[in-house]
Amino acid sequence: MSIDLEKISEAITKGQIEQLQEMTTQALDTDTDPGVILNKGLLPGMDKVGQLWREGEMFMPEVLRSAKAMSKAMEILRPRLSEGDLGSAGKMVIGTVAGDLHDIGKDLAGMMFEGAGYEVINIGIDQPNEAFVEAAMKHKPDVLGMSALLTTTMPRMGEVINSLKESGVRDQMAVIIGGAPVTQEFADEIGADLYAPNAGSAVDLTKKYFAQQ
Amino acid sequence: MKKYNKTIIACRSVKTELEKVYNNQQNIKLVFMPQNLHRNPEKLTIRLQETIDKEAELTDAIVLGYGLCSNGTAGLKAPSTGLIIPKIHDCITLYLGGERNYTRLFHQYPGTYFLTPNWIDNKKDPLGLVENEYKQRVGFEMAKEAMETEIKNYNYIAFINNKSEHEDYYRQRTQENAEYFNKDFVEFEGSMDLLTKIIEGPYDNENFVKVNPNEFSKQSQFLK
Ligand code: B12
Repeated sequence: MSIDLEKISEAITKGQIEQLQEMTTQALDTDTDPGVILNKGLLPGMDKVGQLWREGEMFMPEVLRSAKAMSKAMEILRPRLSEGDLGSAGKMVIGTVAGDLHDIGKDLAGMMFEGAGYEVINIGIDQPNEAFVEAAMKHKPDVLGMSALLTTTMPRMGEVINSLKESGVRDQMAVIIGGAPVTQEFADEIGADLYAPNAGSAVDLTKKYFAQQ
Repeated sequence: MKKYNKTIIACRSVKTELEKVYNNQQNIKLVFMPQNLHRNPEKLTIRLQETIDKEAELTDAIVLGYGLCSNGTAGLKAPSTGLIIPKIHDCITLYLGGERNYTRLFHQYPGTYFLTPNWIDNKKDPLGLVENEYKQRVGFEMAKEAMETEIKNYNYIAFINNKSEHEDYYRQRTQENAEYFNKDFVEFEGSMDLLTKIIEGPYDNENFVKVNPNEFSKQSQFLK
């Protein structure tokens, strides 16, 4: 019997951790392609979570439960995703800027990029500007993602972009920024390549961006 | 002549403090909005605009008891009165009397979760949230775990003391939160300076954003 991928999405949205683990295992046992489970099951579920949060339909503990379900399912899936899938799309460095300790949205965004085939290097929260630049020089990512949830810490993103310029590496990567208070207008102002209002659209926008390059 | 000289539309999270300064002045009206709106800045803008439109008919000036609050107060306009909004990021700045104090503590005590009497009374402290909101939605175990995840990056839970009544109770509740979630307790002295200015003025350009009648407030006015 094959597993209904929509049920997998639903288990994510509902935060049914055990059911999701079972279904993921079962799907693998019945030879469903791990990439398909991820892209057609887990990620649409997670995308929905981001959406329901914004609409005020889901509350914090539910979002966190869904995120936990997602990472548990990824534990099962990751070893089975072929080398080709992981990192096939490129590399991403992602982190939250200095003074800012919010990480739920950033981690969701990281998961979505991982799901889309990026090797994601998550440098964590409260990262000083230099840490972004160092990570950018060390890992040479295709995409550098920054998250800020406070209007007090948003300006750090512009500063990082300037430091990247000074270090001469700015043009080697696409810079994408996000977080609830961030706007397209702000992204344009500081010279980020991309802004995404949510994690789901971030991946699509990035794909489109590279397709046009 | 309109009914009021001034109407203050403020978040419930500063109710205790504002009422203390207010002193029942007849020519000033206080309106409080639910604290929950802070979860959803887009909804905050919509609800604030509705309230502004309603109150503008009755008053000569509107002052908001809000900061930029994740752009919740960007994109607002008032037809006849214009708007006066504190030039701050969020309510924590209000309790601390200004951006300078906030920035100093932000650096001195990185990773601080601030509590005040209203946050505690409205059950928005971590323990209050677990007991009154989270538990009902996901059960106690997951509620506790969710809150632990939420505040895992924090070092301190702080009580901002604005010398309200029942100060001991609020201090104790903050300590209880700190202990339960394994954080350090700290206490900061609050300041009523900015809160007093919201009611009394003067609305100087350093501390307030002025929005002309029929113009929209903008994020950039707060950020300079
Ligand atoms: C949960 C939360 C917290 C949690 C954080 C838990 C954690 N581990 O992250 C706790 C309770 C600990 C917290 C603390 C504080 N918070 Co807080 N918090 C929130 C809240 C309610 C939700 C944030 C969230 O996680 N949303 C869920 C996720 C899924 O959404 P998201 O983060 O927006 O991410 C999505 C997109 O934005 C995007 N995205 C995000 N990042 C990135 C990055 C990239 C590269 C891309 C492409 C996309 C992307 O994708 C995500 C998924 O779609 C917001 C209000 C709000 N509605 O935003 C306030 C809010 C951000 N917090 C606020 C405040 C004031 C604070 C405190 C100062 C409060 C205090 N009492 O001390 C501290 C600050 C600590 C610090 N130094 O960082 C204010 C900020 C105001 C301001 N100054 O701008 C807000 C706006 C609430 C408010 N209106 O008052 N907070």
